[in-house]
Amino acid sequence: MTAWIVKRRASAVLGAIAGASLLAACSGNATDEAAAEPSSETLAALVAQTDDLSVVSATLKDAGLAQAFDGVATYTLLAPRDAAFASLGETGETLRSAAQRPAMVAVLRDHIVPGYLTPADISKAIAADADGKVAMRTMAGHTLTFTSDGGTVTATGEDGATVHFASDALLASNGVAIPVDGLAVAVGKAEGS
Amino acid sequence: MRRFTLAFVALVFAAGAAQAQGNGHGGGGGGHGPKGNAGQAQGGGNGGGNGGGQGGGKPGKAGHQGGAAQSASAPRQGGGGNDHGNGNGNARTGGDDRGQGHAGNGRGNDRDVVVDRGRGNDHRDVVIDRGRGNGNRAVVIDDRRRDVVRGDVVRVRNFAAIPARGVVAGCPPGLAKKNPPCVPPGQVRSPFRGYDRPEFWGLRLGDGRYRYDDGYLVRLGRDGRIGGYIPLLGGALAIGNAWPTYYQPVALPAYYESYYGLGQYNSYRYADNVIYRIDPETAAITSVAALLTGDDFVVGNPMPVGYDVYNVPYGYREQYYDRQDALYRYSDGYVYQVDPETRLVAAAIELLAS
Repeated sequence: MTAWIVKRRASAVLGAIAGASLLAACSGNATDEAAAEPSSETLAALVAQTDDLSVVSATLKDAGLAQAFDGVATYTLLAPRDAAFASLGETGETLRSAAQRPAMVAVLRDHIVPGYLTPADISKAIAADADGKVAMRTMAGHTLTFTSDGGTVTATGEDGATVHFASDALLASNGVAIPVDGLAVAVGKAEGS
Repeated sequence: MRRFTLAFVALVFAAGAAQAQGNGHGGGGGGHGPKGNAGQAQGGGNGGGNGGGQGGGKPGKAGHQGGAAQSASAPRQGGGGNDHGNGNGNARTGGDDRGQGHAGNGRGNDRDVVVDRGRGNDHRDVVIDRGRGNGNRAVVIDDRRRDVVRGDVVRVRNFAAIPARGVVAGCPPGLAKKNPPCVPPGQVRSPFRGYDRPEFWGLRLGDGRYRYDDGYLVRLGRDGRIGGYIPLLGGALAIGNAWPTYYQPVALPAYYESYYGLGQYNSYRYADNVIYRIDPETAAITSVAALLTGDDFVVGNPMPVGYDVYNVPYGYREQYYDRQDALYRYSDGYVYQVDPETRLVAAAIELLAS
């Protein structure tokens, strides 16, 4: 076994990133998509520019997380679309309130995984797995499990909440945002409420 | 101002087995790693950094075995990451070329720190300034796997060395002043499922009754009073709030400071896998610098669970892509090489930011 660390400079990385904002179709050709050049813009910027991710974008900004997504570190965000919060009704409203920002941040942390994962990367891993099921660590210390059914990728949180990839992924210079149709954390009203 | 050279005990090898041993906490003079030549495989060797001084030597984790040099440059190995250890970089060559390490003040992570200096201008020594802004404070080493900057700050070798935050005894500042103190407000139904459990907040705490209360997760004692609390991201640890004094500052490993662009230790704080930027003057939280998994990748140990999908940052994909003989995964600023069959971590690769 070898063990070594290589120092490299991020400037070389950034130099390799150029071009306009690109969208990667989640149903597109896996190889092409995985190789698609990302935007020169950051993850925070691309999320902010996407109409149906306004709730997530506002939360990132208000909680100070936007700066983390503007930085050099790479993250992939399963970004619940605005409709995902609207569908929760009163619970969604509560979650979006300033008073419940810690809860919203906690929920979003469970939608963030380390590194740069395109839908093609995830689909490829699912296809290669004997059980068709792959897991990724979230920034909340939990795991998201990805499966595929008829080409639609589903992510399941540890508490069983499921979301589906809903639209084109945003490939940023420092990460990926994959819009999803719900929350991967069960935030329904507490029992007895 | 006191400056220390970050020692990377640079060892190199060609064919032959090589082991690197990095040991020691100890004071020592500065040193420099070898200057490698690009594309030149150099001798295998052992690197031992043994430091005298306080705390005695603690074995490093650099257990390396030689193999064929990968890529155009010669992988260098070293028992790096020894805090101020007077290291000896002895290259035991297995090939024609000899790499010679001048180990100096070993400092770094508890990981096997090896610098590929065979990439032309990529070579440089890494310098840590531990004293800026605070005069000539001496650095002392204790035996708890960390440096202590006299006065207030501990530079940790890795996140595992950070004193556990856990539950802060007592009750949140606001409730402590009330009469009666430390009694939670009237029972309010939790708005969300799991809201009152530490797991919801990404925390792993001991058994007990917990409740969310105004930016904190509080632990309730048998008498119903609050016996402990944890400030939460976005709550008590929200932008604009002063960093709580009960969470002592730590100086993170120099690599993290560099990779995440954190600046001096007085400009950031760390708690529960989150690095916060603060205003050094007011200690007010200004932003979140980074979210971390906190996963412990150790060379020679199995890769943590939850890394089934290739996730290397885009700019490094041409170099680090999954192959028959190696997988690559990213976590918290490092790309890790993993053996596809054994799933053991084979290498940790720094992605230095500047």
